[in-house]
Amino acid sequence: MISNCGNKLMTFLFLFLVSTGIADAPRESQIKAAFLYNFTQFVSWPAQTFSEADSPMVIGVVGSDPFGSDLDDTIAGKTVGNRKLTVKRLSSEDATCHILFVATQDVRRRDTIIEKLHKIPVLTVGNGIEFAKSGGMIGFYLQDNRVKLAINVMATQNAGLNVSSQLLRISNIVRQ
Amino acid sequence: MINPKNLSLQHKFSAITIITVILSLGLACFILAYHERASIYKRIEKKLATQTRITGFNSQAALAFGDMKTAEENLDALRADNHIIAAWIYNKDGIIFAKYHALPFINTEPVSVPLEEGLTRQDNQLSVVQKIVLDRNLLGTLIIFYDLSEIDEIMKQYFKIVFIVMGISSFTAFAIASKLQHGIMSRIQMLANSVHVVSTQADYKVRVFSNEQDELGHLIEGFNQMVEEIQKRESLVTAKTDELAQLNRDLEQRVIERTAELEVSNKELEAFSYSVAHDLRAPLRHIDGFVDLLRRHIAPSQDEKSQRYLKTIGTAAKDMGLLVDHLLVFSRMGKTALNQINVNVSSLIAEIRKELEGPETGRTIEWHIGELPDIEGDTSMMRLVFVNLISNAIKYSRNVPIAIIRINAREINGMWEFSVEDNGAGFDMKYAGKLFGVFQRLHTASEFEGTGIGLANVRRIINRHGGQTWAEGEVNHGAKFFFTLPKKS
Repeated sequence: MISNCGNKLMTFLFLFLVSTGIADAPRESQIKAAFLYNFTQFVSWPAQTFSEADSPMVIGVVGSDPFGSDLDDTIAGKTVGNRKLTVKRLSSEDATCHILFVATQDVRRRDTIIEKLHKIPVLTVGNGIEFAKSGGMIGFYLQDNRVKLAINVMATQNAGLNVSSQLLRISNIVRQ
Repeated sequence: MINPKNLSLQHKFSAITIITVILSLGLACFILAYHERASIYKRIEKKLATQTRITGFNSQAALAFGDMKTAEENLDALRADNHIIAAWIYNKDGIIFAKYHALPFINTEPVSVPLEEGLTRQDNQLSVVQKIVLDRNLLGTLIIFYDLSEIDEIMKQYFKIVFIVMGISSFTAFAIASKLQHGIMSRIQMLANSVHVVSTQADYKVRVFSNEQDELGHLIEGFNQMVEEIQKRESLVTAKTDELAQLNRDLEQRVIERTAELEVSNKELEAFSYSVAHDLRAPLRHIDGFVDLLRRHIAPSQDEKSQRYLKTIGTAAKDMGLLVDHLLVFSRMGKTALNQINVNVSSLIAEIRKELEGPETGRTIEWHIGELPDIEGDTSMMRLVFVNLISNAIKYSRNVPIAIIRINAREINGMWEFSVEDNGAGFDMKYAGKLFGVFQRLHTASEFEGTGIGLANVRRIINRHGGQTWAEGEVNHGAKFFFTLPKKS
């Protein structure tokens, strides 16, 4: 009984610490970097997008990089199956990427990129629900201080990407 | 409290049947129940493991993207199984990510982040820990708590059924056993009844019938043979007993015949001696008379020798006459009818005393006469009895300076016992048996005169009155004569 009470007290303290957010809260860029990595787990690309069985999976960032070192830290040492992960920082769209984070604020440039890649199996990710609604595939947005996902299923399907139903379940599905 | 040892066989058999059924069924049901319980538990384990894997898998994306709401929705799907009481998902840092409680008031918070995957059972609670891993990366941990009390519920239900089945089985077994036992029990009952008849009524004609050649059949056969054997012995014994009884009767008959023959010859002998005695009286009187005449005739001659001879002949003839008279009296005592009337013994004795004491002047006799009852008897015969006894007492005490004669009576066993005692010559007890015989004398005629018939007469009279006679004595210390008479009816 005594040890049980003690344990309960410990649990209470633990929960108290968690709920008051005294523990280190991750930065938004860290979360988004982690999400980009997570997409590799819930999206499947056609086999022809990889030249070799162990070709790396490429995450590209176009526009002004918001991650700093966060993205590189996140994927460091991580693999997807046998594939390593690499980050490419780009000035324009690149069809050889598997995931492309469109960081530009310029709406016209954004749409151009989306337009250029809309038939190519590149998972385009950007900020805001608008990104998905404008033909991008996944848009990050904030709700209740949490990062949420908006997915344009039509866009992923057109690009020949297969998005896991699990991912769809947790996401806000949008249409153009 | 009934001692089970004294129950009837039928009840014992029934009890054995029911106990056997209950024990075997109970054991079988217990094993089945145990097995059932184990398999239910296995099934639950398997189901829960599967459920946990699915839930864990479904929570991958939610965990990966930090979607608590979806994770809790996932957990909430567990509500479909009402035995799942709680489920938690921790993120990879060990912080609670999503919670589910079947009932709001159940607040079994996990003590710490479980590290080991697998099943843990604690009392009535089963918990399963499942790591949520995606592509070798740990996303979080899922723990599900399952309430096992349903097993107890199932077991309770199970035992209810077991009890009902046991009850029905026992009843059925009892009914069937009773039916089947009837054949055995009825024969045992018959056997028991027959044994009872044999032992209490000694009736050896009973037989028990059995057409079944089992152990009981052999037992019954053995019983029948035994009773038959007893019957044979019994009839043999009866025959022998009858034979003996016949022999006995024959012997008795012969004794009666011999006794009758003896009586007849006794009577003939008595009649003969009576007639001899009677016929001797006349010649004796002649002898006596003529000896007297002869003495007077030759008196003057003063032949002293002849006188002495004649005197001796006369005395002998007188003695012989007396003897013959006494013999005749003795004979009559056996023949004459008893004239029984009331006899006043006291006055009878007073009379006799006066009569007998007269000639004994010069002697000192002390009389001690006790209280004497009246009796019923023949007066003249009773007079003879007392005359004989008292005259004997006077006669045999004449050599002591002071004679003491005691006459007493007392009641004993419904009889009067009279005794006449003196302090005279007495007798040797070894001749006591001879005293009452005819012509039996313990003294010579020169010591004490007498014919030897007096006591024989006493015995004959007393016997005829239904009494007995005997005597006690010691040489020179007196004699005591007893006789008994029945009290007046």
